[in-house]
Amino acid sequence: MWGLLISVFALILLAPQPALAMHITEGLLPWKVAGFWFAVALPFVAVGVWQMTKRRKAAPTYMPLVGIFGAAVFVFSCLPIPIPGIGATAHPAGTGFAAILIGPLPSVVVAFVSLLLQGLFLAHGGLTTLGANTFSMGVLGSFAGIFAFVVARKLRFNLFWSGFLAGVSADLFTYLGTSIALATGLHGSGSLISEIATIFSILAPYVMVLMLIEGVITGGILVYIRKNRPDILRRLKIIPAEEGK
Amino acid sequence: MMTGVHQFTDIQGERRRLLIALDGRVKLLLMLVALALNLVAGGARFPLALSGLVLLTILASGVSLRSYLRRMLVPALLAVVAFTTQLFWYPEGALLWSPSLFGFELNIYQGALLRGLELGCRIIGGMSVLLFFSLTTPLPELMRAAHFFRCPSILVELTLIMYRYIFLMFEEAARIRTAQKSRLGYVSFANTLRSVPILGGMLILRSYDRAERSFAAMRCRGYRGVMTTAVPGRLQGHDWGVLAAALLILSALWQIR
Repeated sequence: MWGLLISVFALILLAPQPALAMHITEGLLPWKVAGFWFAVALPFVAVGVWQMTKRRKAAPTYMPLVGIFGAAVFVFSCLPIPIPGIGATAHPAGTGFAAILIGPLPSVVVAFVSLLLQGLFLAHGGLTTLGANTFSMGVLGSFAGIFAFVVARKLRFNLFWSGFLAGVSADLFTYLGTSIALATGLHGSGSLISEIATIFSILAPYVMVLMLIEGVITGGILVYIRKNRPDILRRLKIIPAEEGK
Repeated sequence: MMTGVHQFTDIQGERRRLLIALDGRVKLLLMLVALALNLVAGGARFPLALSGLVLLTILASGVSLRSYLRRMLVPALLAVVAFTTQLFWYPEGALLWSPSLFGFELNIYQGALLRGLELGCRIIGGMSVLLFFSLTTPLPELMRAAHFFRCPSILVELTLIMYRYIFLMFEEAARIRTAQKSRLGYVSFANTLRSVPILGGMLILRSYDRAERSFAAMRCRGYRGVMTTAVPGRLQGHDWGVLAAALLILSALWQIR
Protein backbone atom coordinates (compact mmCIF):
# COMPACT_ATOMS: atom_id res chain seq x y z
CA MET A 1 0.00 0.00 0.00
CA TRP A 2 2.71 2.47 1.00
CA GLY A 3 4.70 1.44 -2.02
CA LEU A 4 1.80 2.37 -4.25
CA LEU A 5 1.31 5.69 -2.48
CA ILE A 6 4.96 6.59 -2.76
CA SER A 7 4.96 5.59 -6.43
CA VAL A 8 1.96 7.89 -6.96
CA PHE A 9 3.73 10.64 -5.08
CA ALA A 10 6.90 10.17 -7.10
CA LEU A 11 4.96 10.25 -10.35
CA ILE A 12 3.05 13.39 -9.43
CA LEU A 13 6.05 15.14 -7.95
CA LEU A 14 8.59 14.25 -10.57
CA ALA A 15 6.54 14.02 -13.71
CA PRO A 16 4.04 16.86 -13.50
CA GLN A 17 3.39 16.57 -17.23
CA PRO A 18 1.03 13.58 -17.51
CA ALA A 19 1.66 13.57 -21.24
CA LEU A 20 5.13 12.24 -20.50
CA ALA A 21 3.51 9.06 -19.32
CA MET A 22 1.96 8.59 -22.75
CA HIS A 23 5.23 7.43 -24.34
CA ILE A 24 7.49 4.90 -22.72
CA THR A 25 10.98 6.32 -22.53
CA GLU A 26 14.09 4.80 -24.07
CA GLY A 27 15.72 2.06 -21.98
CA LEU A 28 12.74 1.38 -19.77
CA LEU A 29 11.85 -1.96 -21.32
CA PRO A 30 14.21 -4.95 -21.12
CA TRP A 31 15.28 -6.23 -24.55
CA LYS A 32 12.98 -9.27 -24.52
CA VAL A 33 9.94 -7.15 -23.67
CA ALA A 34 10.93 -4.48 -26.20
CA GLY A 35 11.29 -7.20 -28.84
CA PHE A 36 7.91 -8.66 -27.94
CA TRP A 37 6.17 -5.30 -28.44
CA PHE A 38 7.93 -4.80 -31.76
CA ALA A 39 6.66 -8.21 -32.84
CA VAL A 40 3.13 -7.20 -31.83
CA ALA A 41 3.14 -3.74 -33.43
CA LEU A 42 5.12 -4.28 -36.64
CA PRO A 43 2.52 -6.44 -38.44
CA PHE A 44 0.04 -3.54 -38.12
CA VAL A 45 2.64 -1.11 -39.46
CA ALA A 46 3.46 -3.52 -42.30
CA VAL A 47 -0.20 -3.91 -43.31
CA GLY A 48 -0.62 -0.13 -43.03
CA VAL A 49 2.37 0.42 -45.31
CA TRP A 50 0.96 -2.12 -47.78
CA GLN A 51 -2.44 -0.40 -47.77
CA MET A 52 -0.86 3.02 -48.22
CA THR A 53 1.29 1.74 -51.09
CA LYS A 54 -1.84 0.49 -52.83
CA ARG A 55 -3.65 3.79 -52.30
CA ARG A 56 -0.62 5.78 -53.46
CA LYS A 57 -0.63 3.83 -56.71
CA ALA A 58 -4.35 4.49 -57.19
CA ALA A 59 -4.16 8.22 -56.35
CA PRO A 60 -0.89 10.17 -56.52
CA THR A 61 -2.44 12.88 -54.30
CA TYR A 62 -2.67 10.38 -51.44
CA MET A 63 0.81 10.74 -49.95
CA PRO A 64 0.93 14.57 -49.77
CA LEU A 65 -2.53 14.48 -48.19
CA VAL A 66 -1.67 11.85 -45.56
CA GLY A 67 1.72 13.44 -44.90
CA ILE A 68 0.29 16.91 -44.34
CA PHE A 69 -2.65 15.59 -42.31
CA GLY A 70 -0.11 13.61 -40.30
CA ALA A 71 1.89 16.79 -39.69
CA ALA A 72 -1.29 18.64 -38.66
CA VAL A 73 -2.27 15.86 -36.23
CA PHE A 74 1.30 15.83 -34.88
CA VAL A 75 1.10 19.57 -34.20
CA PHE A 76 -2.43 19.22 -32.82
CA SER A 77 -1.16 16.51 -30.46
CA CYS A 78 1.43 18.97 -29.12
CA LEU A 79 -1.15 21.57 -28.08
CA PRO A 80 -0.83 22.20 -24.36
CA ILE A 81 -4.15 22.04 -22.52
CA PRO A 82 -4.23 22.96 -18.82
CA ILE A 83 -5.93 20.33 -16.64
CA PRO A 84 -8.07 22.08 -14.03
CA GLY A 85 -7.33 21.26 -10.40
CA ILE A 86 -4.04 19.52 -11.14
CA GLY A 87 -2.01 22.47 -12.33
CA ALA A 88 -0.39 20.52 -15.13
CA THR A 89 -0.85 20.57 -18.86
CA ALA A 90 -1.65 17.62 -21.08
CA HIS A 91 -1.74 17.09 -24.81
CA PRO A 92 -4.21 15.09 -26.91
CA ALA A 93 -3.10 11.77 -28.40
CA GLY A 94 -4.69 12.59 -31.75
CA THR A 95 -4.73 8.99 -32.99
CA GLY A 96 -8.51 8.61 -32.73
CA PHE A 97 -8.90 11.73 -34.81
CA ALA A 98 -6.25 10.59 -37.30
CA ALA A 99 -8.00 7.21 -37.65
CA ILE A 100 -11.27 8.99 -38.51
CA LEU A 101 -9.55 11.17 -41.11
CA ILE A 102 -7.29 8.70 -42.90
CA GLY A 103 -8.35 5.24 -41.65
CA PRO A 104 -6.99 3.08 -38.81
CA LEU A 105 -4.10 1.35 -40.60
CA PRO A 106 -2.60 4.50 -42.17
CA SER A 107 -3.12 6.11 -38.76
CA VAL A 108 -0.93 3.38 -37.22
CA VAL A 109 1.79 4.23 -39.76
CA VAL A 110 1.43 7.97 -39.07
CA ALA A 111 1.64 7.26 -35.31
CA PHE A 112 4.75 5.12 -35.93
CA VAL A 113 6.44 7.96 -37.83
CA SER A 114 5.32 10.56 -35.26
CA LEU A 115 6.68 8.44 -32.43
CA LEU A 116 9.93 7.95 -34.32
CA LEU A 117 10.28 11.73 -34.78
CA GLN A 118 9.35 12.39 -31.15
CA GLY A 119 11.70 9.70 -29.87
CA LEU A 120 14.63 10.84 -31.98
CA PHE A 121 14.27 14.58 -31.96
CA LEU A 122 12.13 15.58 -28.98
CA ALA A 123 13.58 13.22 -26.32
CA HIS A 124 10.02 12.00 -25.85
CA GLY A 125 9.67 8.22 -26.07
CA GLY A 126 12.49 6.20 -27.59
CA LEU A 127 13.68 3.85 -30.28
CA THR A 128 13.78 0.50 -28.49
CA THR A 129 10.39 1.34 -26.98
CA LEU A 130 8.96 2.30 -30.39
CA GLY A 131 7.16 -1.05 -30.68
CA ALA A 132 5.41 -0.69 -27.32
CA ASN A 133 4.54 2.96 -27.97
CA THR A 134 3.26 2.17 -31.46
CA PHE A 135 1.11 -0.60 -30.06
CA SER A 136 -0.47 1.51 -27.32
CA MET A 137 -0.84 4.80 -29.16
CA GLY A 138 -0.98 3.74 -32.80
CA VAL A 139 -2.71 0.37 -32.80
CA LEU A 140 -4.96 0.56 -29.72
CA GLY A 141 -5.62 4.30 -30.04
CA SER A 142 -6.48 4.17 -33.74
CA PHE A 143 -8.63 1.05 -33.66
CA ALA A 144 -10.45 2.01 -30.45
CA GLY A 145 -11.11 5.46 -31.90
CA ILE A 146 -12.41 4.31 -35.26
CA PHE A 147 -14.45 1.49 -33.70
CA ALA A 148 -16.19 3.90 -31.31
CA PHE A 149 -16.79 6.38 -34.15
CA VAL A 150 -18.29 3.82 -36.54
CA VAL A 151 -20.49 2.27 -33.85
CA ALA A 152 -21.70 5.69 -32.70
CA ARG A 153 -22.53 6.72 -36.28
CA LYS A 154 -24.40 3.45 -36.83
CA LEU A 155 -26.37 4.18 -33.65
CA ARG A 156 -27.21 7.56 -35.20
CA PHE A 157 -25.26 9.67 -32.73
CA ASN A 158 -24.56 13.11 -34.15
CA LEU A 159 -21.08 14.04 -35.39
CA PHE A 160 -19.99 15.73 -32.16
CA TRP A 161 -20.89 12.80 -29.91
CA SER A 162 -19.44 10.28 -32.36
CA GLY A 163 -16.17 12.24 -32.37
CA PHE A 164 -16.38 12.62 -28.62
CA LEU A 165 -16.64 8.85 -28.13
CA ALA A 166 -13.80 8.27 -30.60
CA GLY A 167 -11.54 10.69 -28.70
CA VAL A 168 -12.49 9.21 -25.31
CA SER A 169 -11.92 5.60 -26.32
CA ALA A 170 -8.70 6.35 -28.22
CA ASP A 171 -7.26 8.06 -25.16
CA LEU A 172 -8.51 5.43 -22.74
CA PHE A 173 -7.08 2.56 -24.75
CA THR A 174 -3.82 4.38 -25.38
CA TYR A 175 -3.22 4.73 -21.64
CA LEU A 176 -4.45 1.21 -21.01
CA GLY A 177 -1.94 -0.05 -23.58
CA THR A 178 0.78 2.09 -22.02
CA SER A 179 -0.04 0.64 -18.60
CA ILE A 180 0.21 -2.90 -19.97
CA ALA A 181 3.50 -2.19 -21.73
CA LEU A 182 4.90 -0.39 -18.67
CA ALA A 183 3.87 -3.25 -16.40
CA THR A 184 5.64 -5.77 -18.64
CA GLY A 185 8.78 -3.63 -18.38
CA LEU A 186 8.67 -2.72 -14.68
CA HIS A 187 7.29 -6.09 -13.68
CA GLY A 188 8.38 -6.95 -10.15
CA SER A 189 7.63 -10.04 -8.11
CA GLY A 190 3.87 -9.36 -7.98
CA SER A 191 1.33 -10.50 -10.56
CA LEU A 192 1.29 -8.72 -13.91
CA ILE A 193 -2.42 -7.97 -13.65
CA SER A 194 -2.06 -6.27 -10.28
CA GLU A 195 0.82 -4.17 -11.62
CA ILE A 196 -1.18 -3.15 -14.69
CA ALA A 197 -3.98 -2.14 -12.30
CA THR A 198 -1.52 -0.22 -10.12
CA ILE A 199 -0.03 1.70 -13.04
CA PHE A 200 -3.42 2.43 -14.53
CA SER A 201 -4.73 3.59 -11.15
CA ILE A 202 -1.74 5.95 -10.90
CA LEU A 203 -2.51 7.36 -14.35
CA ALA A 204 -6.31 7.25 -13.89
CA PRO A 205 -6.86 10.73 -12.41
CA TYR A 206 -5.12 12.28 -15.40
CA VAL A 207 -6.57 9.88 -17.93
CA MET A 208 -10.16 10.47 -16.86
CA VAL A 209 -9.81 14.21 -17.33
CA LEU A 210 -7.65 13.93 -20.41
CA MET A 211 -9.94 11.56 -22.28
CA LEU A 212 -12.93 13.84 -21.72
CA ILE A 213 -10.89 16.79 -22.99
CA GLU A 214 -9.75 14.78 -26.01
CA GLY A 215 -13.35 13.74 -26.67
CA VAL A 216 -14.60 17.33 -26.61
CA ILE A 217 -11.76 18.45 -28.87
CA THR A 218 -12.20 15.61 -31.39
CA GLY A 219 -15.95 16.17 -31.58
CA GLY A 220 -15.44 19.94 -31.75
CA ILE A 221 -12.98 19.71 -34.64
CA LEU A 222 -15.31 17.48 -36.67
CA VAL A 223 -18.21 19.87 -36.11
CA TYR A 224 -16.02 22.84 -37.04
CA ILE A 225 -14.93 21.18 -40.30
CA ARG A 226 -18.51 20.20 -41.19
CA LYS A 227 -19.66 23.75 -40.56
CA ASN A 228 -16.95 25.35 -42.68
CA ARG A 229 -15.84 22.77 -45.25
CA PRO A 230 -18.23 19.79 -45.31
CA ASP A 231 -16.81 18.80 -48.70
CA ILE A 232 -13.62 17.59 -46.95
CA LEU A 233 -15.56 15.24 -44.68
CA ARG A 234 -17.63 14.02 -47.62
CA ARG A 235 -14.53 13.39 -49.72
CA LEU A 236 -12.92 11.46 -46.87
CA LYS A 237 -16.22 9.52 -46.49
CA ILE A 238 -16.59 10.59 -42.86
CA ILE A 239 -20.10 11.86 -43.48
CA PRO A 240 -22.51 10.66 -46.19
CA ALA A 241 -22.80 12.63 -49.42
CA GLU A 242 -26.12 14.20 -48.46
CA GLU A 243 -25.05 15.37 -44.98
CA GLY A 244 -23.85 18.93 -44.41
CA LYS A 245 -25.27 20.32 -47.67
CA MET B 1 3.45 28.15 -26.93
CA MET B 2 4.94 25.15 -28.66
CA THR B 3 8.52 26.31 -28.63
CA GLY B 4 11.21 24.98 -26.35
CA VAL B 5 9.97 21.53 -25.49
CA HIS B 6 8.95 20.84 -29.07
CA GLN B 7 12.07 22.29 -30.64
CA PHE B 8 13.54 19.57 -32.81
CA THR B 9 17.09 18.87 -31.76
CA ASP B 10 18.28 17.89 -35.22
CA ILE B 11 18.10 21.55 -36.30
CA GLN B 12 21.19 21.98 -34.18
CA GLY B 13 22.68 19.03 -36.02
CA GLU B 14 23.08 21.26 -39.05
CA ARG B 15 25.65 23.27 -37.14
CA ARG B 16 27.80 20.44 -35.83
CA ARG B 17 30.57 20.44 -38.38
CA LEU B 18 32.77 17.84 -36.72
CA LEU B 19 30.17 15.11 -36.61
CA ILE B 20 27.96 16.25 -39.46
CA ALA B 21 30.77 15.28 -41.81
CA LEU B 22 30.31 11.67 -40.75
CA ASP B 23 28.09 9.57 -43.00
CA GLY B 24 24.51 9.09 -41.73
CA ARG B 25 24.71 5.33 -42.28
CA VAL B 26 27.64 5.10 -39.89
CA LYS B 27 25.84 7.18 -37.27
CA LEU B 28 22.65 5.15 -37.66
CA LEU B 29 24.54 1.87 -37.34
CA LEU B 30 26.45 3.09 -34.29
CA MET B 31 23.28 4.35 -32.65
CA LEU B 32 21.51 1.01 -33.12
CA VAL B 33 24.53 -0.94 -31.81
CA ALA B 34 24.89 1.38 -28.79
CA LEU B 35 21.16 1.17 -27.96
CA ALA B 36 21.18 -2.62 -28.28
CA LEU B 37 24.24 -2.94 -26.04
CA ASN B 38 22.72 -0.53 -23.54
CA LEU B 39 19.66 -2.75 -23.36
CA VAL B 40 21.39 -6.11 -23.03
CA ALA B 41 24.42 -5.13 -20.94
CA GLY B 42 22.72 -5.44 -17.55
CA GLY B 43 23.91 -3.58 -14.46
CA ALA B 44 24.65 0.11 -14.22
CA ARG B 45 28.27 0.32 -15.34
CA PHE B 46 27.85 0.09 -19.11
CA PRO B 47 24.96 2.61 -19.37
CA LEU B 48 26.81 5.06 -17.10
CA ALA B 49 30.06 4.68 -19.06
CA LEU B 50 28.10 5.10 -22.30
CA SER B 51 26.42 8.29 -21.12
CA GLY B 52 29.80 9.61 -19.95
CA LEU B 53 31.31 8.88 -23.35
CA VAL B 54 28.38 10.55 -25.10
CA LEU B 55 28.70 13.61 -22.88
CA LEU B 56 32.39 13.98 -23.71
CA THR B 57 31.79 13.53 -27.45
CA ILE B 58 28.91 15.98 -27.44
CA LEU B 59 30.97 18.61 -25.62
CA ALA B 60 33.88 18.03 -27.98
CA SER B 61 31.61 18.61 -30.95
CA GLY B 62 30.54 22.02 -29.67
CA VAL B 63 27.12 21.39 -28.13
CA SER B 64 26.62 23.50 -25.03
CA LEU B 65 26.46 21.56 -21.77
CA ARG B 66 23.41 23.55 -20.73
CA SER B 67 21.48 22.63 -23.86
CA TYR B 68 22.36 18.95 -23.41
CA LEU B 69 21.43 18.90 -19.72
CA ARG B 70 18.15 20.71 -20.41
CA ARG B 71 17.25 17.97 -22.87
CA MET B 72 18.29 15.28 -20.41
CA LEU B 73 16.19 16.68 -17.57
CA VAL B 74 12.95 14.90 -18.47
CA PRO B 75 14.60 11.48 -19.05
CA ALA B 76 16.45 11.94 -15.74
CA LEU B 77 13.15 12.57 -13.93
CA LEU B 78 11.63 9.51 -15.57
CA ALA B 79 14.66 7.49 -14.52
CA VAL B 80 14.09 8.57 -10.90
CA VAL B 81 10.40 7.60 -11.15
CA ALA B 82 11.33 4.19 -12.60
CA PHE B 83 13.92 3.75 -9.84
CA THR B 84 11.30 4.57 -7.16
CA THR B 85 8.76 2.09 -8.52
CA GLN B 86 11.32 -0.72 -8.42
CA LEU B 87 12.07 -0.04 -4.75
CA PHE B 88 8.56 -1.13 -3.86
CA TRP B 89 7.78 -3.66 -6.57
CA TYR B 90 10.76 -5.90 -6.22
CA PRO B 91 11.11 -7.09 -2.62
CA GLU B 92 13.99 -9.50 -3.22
CA GLY B 93 17.45 -9.95 -1.72
CA ALA B 94 18.68 -8.80 1.67
CA LEU B 95 16.68 -6.23 3.61
CA LEU B 96 18.76 -3.04 3.58
CA TRP B 97 16.62 -0.45 5.27
CA SER B 98 13.32 -0.45 7.04
CA PRO B 99 12.26 3.12 7.77
CA SER B 100 8.99 3.90 9.47
CA LEU B 101 6.56 6.35 7.88
CA PHE B 102 3.53 7.45 9.92
CA GLY B 103 3.62 4.16 11.78
CA PHE B 104 3.95 2.04 8.62
CA GLU B 105 7.14 0.17 7.82
CA LEU B 106 8.79 0.52 4.42
CA ASN B 107 11.16 -2.22 3.42
CA ILE B 108 13.92 -1.52 0.95
CA TYR B 109 15.65 -4.63 -0.38
CA GLN B 110 19.02 -5.00 -2.04
CA GLY B 111 17.54 -6.61 -5.16
CA ALA B 112 15.12 -3.71 -5.58
CA LEU B 113 17.87 -1.15 -5.19
CA LEU B 114 20.08 -2.84 -7.79
CA ARG B 115 17.22 -3.33 -10.21
CA GLY B 116 16.05 0.27 -9.80
CA LEU B 117 19.58 1.52 -10.31
CA GLU B 118 20.01 -0.61 -13.44
CA LEU B 119 16.73 0.62 -14.86
CA GLY B 120 17.46 4.28 -14.12
CA CYS B 121 20.95 4.05 -15.63
CA ARG B 122 19.61 2.24 -18.70
CA ILE B 123 17.18 5.11 -19.31
CA ILE B 124 19.95 7.69 -18.93
CA GLY B 125 22.30 5.68 -21.17
CA GLY B 126 19.69 5.14 -23.88
CA MET B 127 18.46 8.72 -23.90
CA SER B 128 21.98 10.12 -24.06
CA VAL B 129 22.68 7.98 -27.15
CA LEU B 130 19.46 9.21 -28.78
CA LEU B 131 20.30 12.81 -27.94
CA PHE B 132 23.81 12.41 -29.32
CA PHE B 133 22.36 11.12 -32.56
CA SER B 134 19.70 13.80 -32.84
CA LEU B 135 22.06 16.64 -31.95
CA THR B 136 24.43 15.63 -34.74
CA THR B 137 22.17 14.23 -37.48
CA PRO B 138 19.60 16.12 -39.56
CA LEU B 139 16.55 14.07 -40.50
CA PRO B 140 17.12 14.06 -44.29
CA GLU B 141 20.48 12.41 -43.65
CA LEU B 142 18.83 9.79 -41.46
CA MET B 143 16.24 9.13 -44.17
CA ARG B 144 18.95 8.70 -46.82
CA ALA B 145 20.55 6.13 -44.53
CA ALA B 146 17.17 4.45 -43.89
CA HIS B 147 16.58 4.28 -47.66
CA PHE B 148 20.01 2.70 -48.11
CA PHE B 149 19.16 0.04 -45.49
CA ARG B 150 16.00 -0.85 -47.49
CA CYS B 151 13.45 0.83 -45.22
CA PRO B 152 10.08 0.86 -47.12
CA SER B 153 9.97 3.90 -49.41
CA ILE B 154 6.52 4.85 -48.14
CA LEU B 155 7.86 5.28 -44.61
CA VAL B 156 10.76 7.41 -45.85
CA GLU B 157 8.43 9.52 -47.98
CA LEU B 158 5.85 9.95 -45.21
CA THR B 159 8.55 10.92 -42.71
CA LEU B 160 10.04 13.49 -45.08
CA ILE B 161 6.65 15.05 -45.92
CA MET B 162 5.58 15.15 -42.26
CA TYR B 163 8.91 16.58 -41.18
CA ARG B 164 8.74 19.21 -43.92
CA TYR B 165 5.28 20.36 -42.84
CA ILE B 166 5.49 20.02 -39.06
CA PHE B 167 7.41 23.29 -38.80
CA LEU B 168 4.99 25.13 -41.07
CA MET B 169 2.08 23.74 -39.06
CA PHE B 170 3.68 24.79 -35.78
CA GLU B 171 4.00 28.32 -37.13
CA GLU B 172 0.45 28.19 -38.45
CA ALA B 173 -0.85 26.94 -35.09
CA ALA B 174 1.08 29.63 -33.24
CA ARG B 175 -0.40 32.34 -35.51
CA ILE B 176 -3.95 31.03 -35.07
CA ARG B 177 -3.48 30.76 -31.32
CA THR B 178 -2.16 34.32 -31.08
CA ALA B 179 -5.14 35.54 -33.09
CA GLN B 180 -7.49 33.59 -30.82
CA LYS B 181 -5.83 34.98 -27.70
CA SER B 182 -6.18 38.53 -28.98
CA ARG B 183 -9.92 37.82 -29.27
CA LEU B 184 -10.10 36.58 -25.67
CA GLY B 185 -9.60 32.91 -26.45
CA TYR B 186 -8.06 30.66 -23.79
CA VAL B 187 -9.10 32.97 -20.92
CA SER B 188 -10.67 30.13 -18.94
CA PHE B 189 -10.79 26.35 -19.07
CA ALA B 190 -14.23 26.34 -20.71
CA ASN B 191 -13.03 28.90 -23.20
CA THR B 192 -9.93 26.80 -23.92
CA LEU B 193 -12.17 23.83 -24.69
CA ARG B 194 -13.94 26.00 -27.27
CA SER B 195 -10.75 27.50 -28.67
CA VAL B 196 -8.69 24.31 -29.16
CA PRO B 197 -11.19 22.57 -31.50
CA ILE B 198 -11.35 25.72 -33.62
CA LEU B 199 -7.56 25.76 -33.81
CA GLY B 200 -7.48 22.05 -34.67
CA GLY B 201 -10.24 22.46 -37.25
CA MET B 202 -8.52 25.42 -38.88
CA LEU B 203 -5.27 23.45 -39.01
CA ILE B 204 -7.01 20.59 -40.80
CA LEU B 205 -8.72 22.93 -43.27
CA ARG B 206 -5.48 24.73 -44.05
CA SER B 207 -3.52 21.49 -44.26
CA TYR B 208 -6.05 20.07 -46.72
CA ASP B 209 -5.72 23.09 -48.98
CA ARG B 210 -1.96 23.06 -48.53
CA ALA B 211 -1.86 19.36 -49.51
CA GLU B 212 -3.60 20.16 -52.80
CA ARG B 213 -1.23 23.05 -53.51
CA SER B 214 1.80 20.94 -52.56
CA PHE B 215 0.70 18.12 -54.83
CA ALA B 216 0.35 20.56 -57.73
CA ALA B 217 3.83 21.95 -56.97
CA MET B 218 5.33 18.47 -56.62
CA ARG B 219 3.74 17.39 -59.90
CA CYS B 220 5.32 20.38 -61.64
CA ARG B 221 8.67 19.08 -60.38
CA GLY B 222 8.10 15.61 -61.78
CA TYR B 223 6.35 13.85 -58.90
CA ARG B 224 4.33 10.87 -60.17
CA GLY B 225 3.34 9.29 -56.86
CA VAL B 226 6.79 8.26 -55.65
CA MET B 227 9.48 10.59 -54.33
CA THR B 228 12.99 10.06 -55.62
CA THR B 229 15.64 9.88 -52.92
CA ALA B 230 19.33 10.49 -53.51
CA VAL B 231 21.25 7.26 -53.04
CA PRO B 232 24.28 7.82 -50.82
CA GLY B 233 27.64 6.96 -52.36
CA ARG B 234 30.32 4.66 -51.00
CA LEU B 235 31.58 5.25 -47.48
CA GLN B 236 34.75 7.35 -47.30
CA GLY B 237 37.92 6.24 -45.57
CA HIS B 238 37.31 8.45 -42.54
CA ASP B 239 33.80 6.96 -42.14
CA TRP B 240 35.25 3.45 -41.96
CA GLY B 241 37.88 4.71 -39.54
CA VAL B 242 35.35 6.32 -37.22
CA LEU B 243 33.10 3.26 -37.42
CA ALA B 244 35.95 0.93 -36.45
CA ALA B 245 37.15 3.23 -33.66
CA ALA B 246 33.65 3.65 -32.24
CA LEU B 247 33.01 -0.11 -32.31
CA LEU B 248 36.32 -0.67 -30.54
CA ILE B 249 35.40 1.85 -27.84
CA LEU B 250 31.97 0.25 -27.43
CA SER B 251 33.52 -3.19 -27.09
CA ALA B 252 35.96 -1.81 -24.51
CA LEU B 253 33.02 -0.38 -22.56
CA TRP B 254 31.28 -3.74 -22.89
CA GLN B 255 34.19 -5.39 -21.10
CA ILE B 256 33.68 -3.27 -17.97
CA ARG B 257 29.96 -3.99 -17.69
